Amino acid sequence: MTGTSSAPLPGSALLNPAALRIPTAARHTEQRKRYSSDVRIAKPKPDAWVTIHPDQKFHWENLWAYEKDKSFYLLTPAVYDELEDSVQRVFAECDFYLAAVLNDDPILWMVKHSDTDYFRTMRGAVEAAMAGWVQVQSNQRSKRYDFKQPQATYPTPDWSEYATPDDAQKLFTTLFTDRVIDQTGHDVLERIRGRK
Amino acid sequence: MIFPTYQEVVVLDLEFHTDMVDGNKPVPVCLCAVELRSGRKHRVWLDTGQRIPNPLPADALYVAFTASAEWGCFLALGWDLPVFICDLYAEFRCLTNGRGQIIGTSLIDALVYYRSPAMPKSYKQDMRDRILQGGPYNSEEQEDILDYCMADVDGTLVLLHAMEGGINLAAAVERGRYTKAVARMEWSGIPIDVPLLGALQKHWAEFRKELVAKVELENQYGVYKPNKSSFSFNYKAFDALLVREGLDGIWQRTKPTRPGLASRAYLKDDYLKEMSEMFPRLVPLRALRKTLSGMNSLEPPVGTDGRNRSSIRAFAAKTSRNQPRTREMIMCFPAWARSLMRAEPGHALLYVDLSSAEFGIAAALSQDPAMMEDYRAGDPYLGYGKRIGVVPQEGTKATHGALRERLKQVCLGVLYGMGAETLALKLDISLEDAQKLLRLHRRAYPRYWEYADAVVEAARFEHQIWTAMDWRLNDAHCEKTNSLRNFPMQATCADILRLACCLATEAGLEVVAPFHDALLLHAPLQKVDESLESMSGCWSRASAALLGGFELRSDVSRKKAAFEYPRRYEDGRQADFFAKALAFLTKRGYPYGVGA
Repeated sequence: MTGTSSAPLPGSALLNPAALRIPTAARHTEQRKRYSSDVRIAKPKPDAWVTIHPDQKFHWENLWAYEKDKSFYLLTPAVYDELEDSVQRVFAECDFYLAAVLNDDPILWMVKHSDTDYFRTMRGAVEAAMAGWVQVQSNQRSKRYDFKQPQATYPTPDWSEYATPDDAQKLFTTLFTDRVIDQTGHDVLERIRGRK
Repeated sequence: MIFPTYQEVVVLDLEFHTDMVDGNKPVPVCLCAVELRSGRKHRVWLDTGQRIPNPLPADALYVAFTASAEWGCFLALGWDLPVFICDLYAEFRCLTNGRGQIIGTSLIDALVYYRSPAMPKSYKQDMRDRILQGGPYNSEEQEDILDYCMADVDGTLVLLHAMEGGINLAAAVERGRYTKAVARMEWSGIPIDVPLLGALQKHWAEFRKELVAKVELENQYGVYKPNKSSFSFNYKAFDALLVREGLDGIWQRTKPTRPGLASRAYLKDDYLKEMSEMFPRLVPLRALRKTLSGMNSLEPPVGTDGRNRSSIRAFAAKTSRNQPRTREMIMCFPAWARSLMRAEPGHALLYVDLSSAEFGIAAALSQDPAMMEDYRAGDPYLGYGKRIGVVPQEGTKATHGALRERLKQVCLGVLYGMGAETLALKLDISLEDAQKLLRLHRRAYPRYWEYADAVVEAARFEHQIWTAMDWRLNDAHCEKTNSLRNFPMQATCADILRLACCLATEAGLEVVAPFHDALLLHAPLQKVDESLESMSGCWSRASAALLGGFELRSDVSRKKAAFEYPRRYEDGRQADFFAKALAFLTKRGYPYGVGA
């Protein structure tokens, strides 16, 4: 019985399990996981039924946004004003709405502003989605979006996981951390300029 | 108390063998049962060679698992079939239909699903093997078999307790009624031209080789390459064929099973069927492939009485349709091989199918007035053409046959949720024209489209859809939109077929096989007209009962529906393949010359 003892060496802090345990606040709890993985920024799929969160705290409207390879960046208005025209042009004024998707994870529904029927009809769909379920489909023949409402009445989704201003802030923070452009020399802007 | 509306409930199981011949009628071995109210148990050895009276109460609710097998034994014993039946197999299928996880459908699987104790599969297999070897059974074996049979009754009872809360008894009893029709059909079996079957069986490998050579010679596909012993399908050559035919851009391909491997052309029979309908040059290839890949040997189970018997496998499909095994039931063989069916002397085979069943069912379920009017007018596809103004009011099948076929493609395609791209491909028209055709269909039958959308909507929101007879599709929100659109038509057609089967068999008609929207009957020659009329009445009553009074028509013209001995059954397709088979045998000295 020599040299096989598993007892910790006296005084070794490295082998103290209590000292190694991750503090509760830093652990990946279920709630943290949900915010980081479930909600993505997207437009509703054509066969999906969606409805927008009725609380305006979960609506973020009139933001400058830029999308590249499914990554979304927001721009502060002050920086936007300082940008050269060629870079300004790649940003669009956008609205974001937390929307429940039937039988799927919720999305942050992004609506890009434009002077087209596509945008105007999409606004109509958004208004309807604030009151109930809708299905939105692109009508390429008429260059517009068509939306339809269910023939029957179905219950609204359970929004208890997204109820408080804190929930709204957490969601926004999770989706846009490191994605807010707050200076004219930001890497993303440099890439747009072709310098990186 | 279980099912309190019934004074007596009997849970039962019977064992049987088939005298070592697949396709023979069942020979009952024993019966075990328990009467739930009294607790009385029955253990009856039946393999005695003597007539044994039925010891069970006639007006009880009979509960069994795969009940049609029990009724086959009842028929063999000369016992009356029960009136009220609850088949836990059918109910288990209904309650778990569409569930994502893989669920077997045996009694043991069902017990495991409900986390109930079940006998080991190996024990069951051993006992079954012994029973199927047939008698005589010594006294120890008899006791073992009775114990095993009673263990199945106990298992069925446990399952009944587990499932009872989920069973809609009224619908269950109606499904149970169908198990009697199944038993009668399986008891009858399909009459086969046994000498012809035997001759083909004897030379099957040789015939297959000759068939490949002939079809290749006639069509120059170049996809079957000879090898040492036979021939093999060459995927590269098929790719080359697709290039030659200009189909390489549209033909579906399978995903490679491993990175680095090439994808292969998709060749499942249903896809090949769909494509060969669009590109008729591929029709012989599809028939050949089905003959070769589905039938390495030609061994349908045929009893010593010359009847093909195999399980109808009721409720096996998601839509609740029967799903007999394609290598066992001759009605599921390639179309040409169905000509092996022939009525017995002095009899006729009667093939009675519903006319434009899916269109009619869609019309009735959606209550679209225009669609119902077009169905009632006689030819719904011409009716649709007249409605959208492409066929003149006086147009008939004779004057506008080709156009009618195209309109039929549109009408049926819509029921399957076909999109404009596929329709364009199918009709060889531009995408714009296909889109226009679909828009015209929407305008012609707006109520139908509203209904179809509502079905999909309900499935997505409520996660379940069901038919009038309460056949359920669970987890319906996970299904593809097109499958959901079509489900009510398919499942309602299955409901109608089951009811028509019940009515026909209860009326004494000898129904020998069900097939999609058709039934195959065997009738004495002098009763052909009467049987056709009677069967037509069964279809009408069944459809009216399930479609709110809307009757579907059936085609009962004797010339088309009756195959009188010695005429063999003809499917109307692949007749040249059957002619090749007869010519092949004639060359070898069999008496199958012209007209045989």
